[in-house]
Amino acid sequence: MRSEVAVENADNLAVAVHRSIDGAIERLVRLYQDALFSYALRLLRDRFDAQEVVQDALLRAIRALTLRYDEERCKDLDLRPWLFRITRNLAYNWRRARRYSAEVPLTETNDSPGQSFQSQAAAERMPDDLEQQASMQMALDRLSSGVRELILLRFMEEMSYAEIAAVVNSSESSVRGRVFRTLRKLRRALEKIGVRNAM
Amino acid sequence: MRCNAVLEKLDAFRTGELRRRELEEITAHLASCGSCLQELAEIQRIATRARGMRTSAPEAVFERILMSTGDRYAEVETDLGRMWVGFNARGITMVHPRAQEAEAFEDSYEKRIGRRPLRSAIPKSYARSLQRAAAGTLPVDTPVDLSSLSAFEQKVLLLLRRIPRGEVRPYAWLAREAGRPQAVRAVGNAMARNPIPLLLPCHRVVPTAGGIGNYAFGSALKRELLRREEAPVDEIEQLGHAGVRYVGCRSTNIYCFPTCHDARRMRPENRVPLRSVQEADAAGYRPCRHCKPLAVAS
Repeated sequence: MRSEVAVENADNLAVAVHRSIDGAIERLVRLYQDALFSYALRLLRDRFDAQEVVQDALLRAIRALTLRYDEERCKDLDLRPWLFRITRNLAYNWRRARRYSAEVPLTETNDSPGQSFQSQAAAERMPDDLEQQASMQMALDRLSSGVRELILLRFMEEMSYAEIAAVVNSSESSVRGRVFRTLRKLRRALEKIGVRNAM
Repeated sequence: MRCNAVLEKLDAFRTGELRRRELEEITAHLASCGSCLQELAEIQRIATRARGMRTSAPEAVFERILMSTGDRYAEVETDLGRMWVGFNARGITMVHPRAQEAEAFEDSYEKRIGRRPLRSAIPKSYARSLQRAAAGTLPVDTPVDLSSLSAFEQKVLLLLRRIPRGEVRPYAWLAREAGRPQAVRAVGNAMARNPIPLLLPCHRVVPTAGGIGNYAFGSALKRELLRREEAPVDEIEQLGHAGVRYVGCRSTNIYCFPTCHDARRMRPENRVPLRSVQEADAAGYRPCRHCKPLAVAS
């Protein structure tokens, strides 16, 4: 009984925002800002950029819910994948815009060997969990961005395959296959980094 | 089930995203296959490490969204009691003592600003600057939104920020500074209608004829606020009773409003009480460039 009420509340958050109910926007932001920020940060690798993108994404989402969508559409909306999808699209737009305007070559901003080197050096002095986090980031950096986001959504955000498919606009079975293949690459990358760090 | 088929579904197995039959088959397979079981543990390890990459969003995200989504209000606890504070993307719009219920505040907000506010959290910097203003400590300049007021009212209210903490100026001074020396009464009305008391310090404006004068929240509170700002309240009233409007300085031949910080630095033996601009002029004093007493209508 109790869990039914909870589910109902979560479902209706989009409707609550649509109706401009007191505190609904805050609830939406508080509920999703950390997850969206973590995701954007790992895609863009820059806290400032990630913050801008998340702010923009949430504002667009709120505007859509309050002004553009009718109540029916809000009721049927799957909030989490929808928000991730907006954030993802904005992050890609942002990165593309930066890519054309940036003076530094693409590899600098995208794969950033300098930063990898730095975090590798830092890893030697880091406590275990930070070291693990750093090596995870390095391993992720070796993946192409198309599959990197799948790993983030699946393992950092713990999304279901159905949700991920909705975020990246693909089919569930395709996502499953790509995650499976990427996992192997990721593990190989992690092993290599582990060996390097151990030396 | 063969290992290859199991491996492909192992991650979905981990989260239970499989049909019941597949779940059972894989469970059975894992019971007898050590290498697949190890694979599962490996995926779980990666999942744990990936979860470790989660970060919290900076507080600025929340505050920016609060301010960008229409008019809002919140309750703020200050030394002068609880206040309602309205705000939007452009800044603070309204401050009102908590005496009113939420509903009544929303009504008066809608009536004055023209939009109905949502109750919400408030950016920390806004709450802090109101608390500082109520405590009489040095104010922080906070953005304000006066767009629902007339151009003259906006001008007059923003001029209030030029009166330093601990000092007072007459209504007539404000009228002159706003470029309409005759509009003393209009200035008085603008003060009475100040939507953002404390932050726009209308309590620092006093009657031209002397004394402390009225305040939307009562003259007792006005006195209290001025005291907290270290204004010489008793002296202001005494001088008012004695008809003294300005203080001249023998050594510099400059005259000031009595609360001007230059006036308060004069040595007692150099202080000359003055009743009018004419008197100051006749005695050869020039007006202070800081508090600008010249041309205050008498």
